Amino acid sequence: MSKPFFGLIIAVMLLAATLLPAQETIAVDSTARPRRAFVVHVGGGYAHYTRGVKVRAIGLAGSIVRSTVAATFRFMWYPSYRLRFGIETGYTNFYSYSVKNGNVAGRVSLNAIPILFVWSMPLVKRVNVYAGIGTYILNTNLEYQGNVKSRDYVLGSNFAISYTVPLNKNLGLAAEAKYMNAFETRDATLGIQVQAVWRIAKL
Amino acid sequence: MKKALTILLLAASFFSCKKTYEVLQPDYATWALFKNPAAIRINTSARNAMEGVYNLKTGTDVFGELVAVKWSYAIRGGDTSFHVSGFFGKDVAWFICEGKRLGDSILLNGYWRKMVNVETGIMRFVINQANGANKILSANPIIDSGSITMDGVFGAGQDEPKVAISFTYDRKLNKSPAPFEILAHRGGGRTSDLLQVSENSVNIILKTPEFGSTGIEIDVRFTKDGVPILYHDNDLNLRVVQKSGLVGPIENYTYDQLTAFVRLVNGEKIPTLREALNAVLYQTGLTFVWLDTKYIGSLAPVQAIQKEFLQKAAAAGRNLKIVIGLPGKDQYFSFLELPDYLNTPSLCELSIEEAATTNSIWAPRFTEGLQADKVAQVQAQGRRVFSWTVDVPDFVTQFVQKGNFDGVLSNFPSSVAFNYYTNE
Repeated sequence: MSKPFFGLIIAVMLLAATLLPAQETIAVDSTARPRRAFVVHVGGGYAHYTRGVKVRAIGLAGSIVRSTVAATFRFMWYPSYRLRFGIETGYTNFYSYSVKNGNVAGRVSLNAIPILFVWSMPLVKRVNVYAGIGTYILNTNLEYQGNVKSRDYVLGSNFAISYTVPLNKNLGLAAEAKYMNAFETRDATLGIQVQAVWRIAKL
Repeated sequence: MKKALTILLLAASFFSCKKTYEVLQPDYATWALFKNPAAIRINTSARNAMEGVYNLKTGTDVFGELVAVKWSYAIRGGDTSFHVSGFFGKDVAWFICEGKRLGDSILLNGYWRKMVNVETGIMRFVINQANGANKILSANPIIDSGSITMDGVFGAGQDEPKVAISFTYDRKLNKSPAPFEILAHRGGGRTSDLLQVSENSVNIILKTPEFGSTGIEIDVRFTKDGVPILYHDNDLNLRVVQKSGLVGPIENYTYDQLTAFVRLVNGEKIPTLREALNAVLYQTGLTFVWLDTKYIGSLAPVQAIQKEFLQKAAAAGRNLKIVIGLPGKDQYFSFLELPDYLNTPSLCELSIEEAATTNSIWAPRFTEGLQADKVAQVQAQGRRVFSWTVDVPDFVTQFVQKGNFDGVLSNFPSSVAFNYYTNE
């Protein structure tokens, strides 16, 4: 079974496990507003690669660049109970570095696009936590004696906590701390983002 | 609040660490006696005299009842290093020692390991004159049952060895009339078995004779620019290589790019097929190479290299066999397109009929059982039969001692060596 498919199966199973008991034990939170809605989160910010990496490349020039930008697009379903779910994608660079091997210079960068099933719930007023699991699409960009773009699919997760300030009835602004973890390849970033939170449909 | 805790616990589980195992090879170069400048290398005659099956007198609770003792060599940096290995019957344990002669005594200094776990430690032996060193070191050694006793100590990890172990010579190593191949998987073993050297590397090829291997299976793929290399998996991943920023299929990269950026888990570079075969031919006494073709495409480039190295082996006076492995239908049909395929040494993992069509060694998977009738049928046609990949100790015993195979492929060649050499 392919790794992305395996990740998808796990995520679907978790999703099903989340839904089934929840429907039987609905506990409406009187503070949860709106009661049911589709909500989109869009934002970006700074991320830092947190895992160890000891590159053995010949002629490593300078240090490994660990600081990068990251972005998030999240589509959530807010049901009538506290546990919400949805899907998330985005972007994060993991790390990059340069080499100077004799007269030949080169550069490598590794970035990732997550495709995750996410669950969320409010902890206290305006503070939400998120956890997701699924696949990271890893992309290598190599410039060394030619250009190579190569891709792999690995299992991963994320975890985030956000604080949302409502701007009006349907729009909010959130600050979110996020850990993006492609655990299969031991690649992870920790970052902070600013996000627009938009309630696009209320049921 | 309960749900919040559940979510937090779930999230925490995402960050929980997978247990990592490591085996640090003990630094055994601390034995002052062994470093004595008067200690000299043991000669060929003495090395041969020491080989045999020994009965353990002490240490049986840890290592079992028997040990098969055998010497091997490898040439590194132009210098030939000899090691004596002992293959135990319990927990796929072995020891590897260097040997020296000091006066009338023989000293063996090295380390032991169990392959079923991460237990390891220093192991040392002394064979003094009364315990058989005089016979071993004589001009024409005649070794009988009971004439050699190795007295030693072993310890755990880097601790000073203090636990007694001793064994006594019982008989010569078993040797079947037809050659039997002890084949090591992926050049000598898997990276995950923590051997300090990476699978499919030149270093493990030089190491594997110490595990009792007489031959190796290596995995062949091609880089983007057509260089045949040793690599098992479809893609670059942490099971095999260190982090480099390069991901995806190995065929996406040229050999120069892989050499510049990628290192195997223990720091080696990915070797070319030529580098691997050069190591086998000129740096070891290995006699068999199974080229497991992991790619789909023409086998002509591999056939050309096979032919080149068989000629080099013949020129060097080496009885080296190199076979092209046919693990699937794609490789099978590619092989049939080769010129003179019937005279190209090969090994077929498919049916007995397909192996006959290609005039190959037949190599059924071990899960198909001992297949005594089919094995006899192939052997009656003058072809050999190997089984793969046999790792579980009980199965190794069954396939080596009860089966009629001409060779067994294993990630634990020391286990195959124990069962073969102690078989009566």
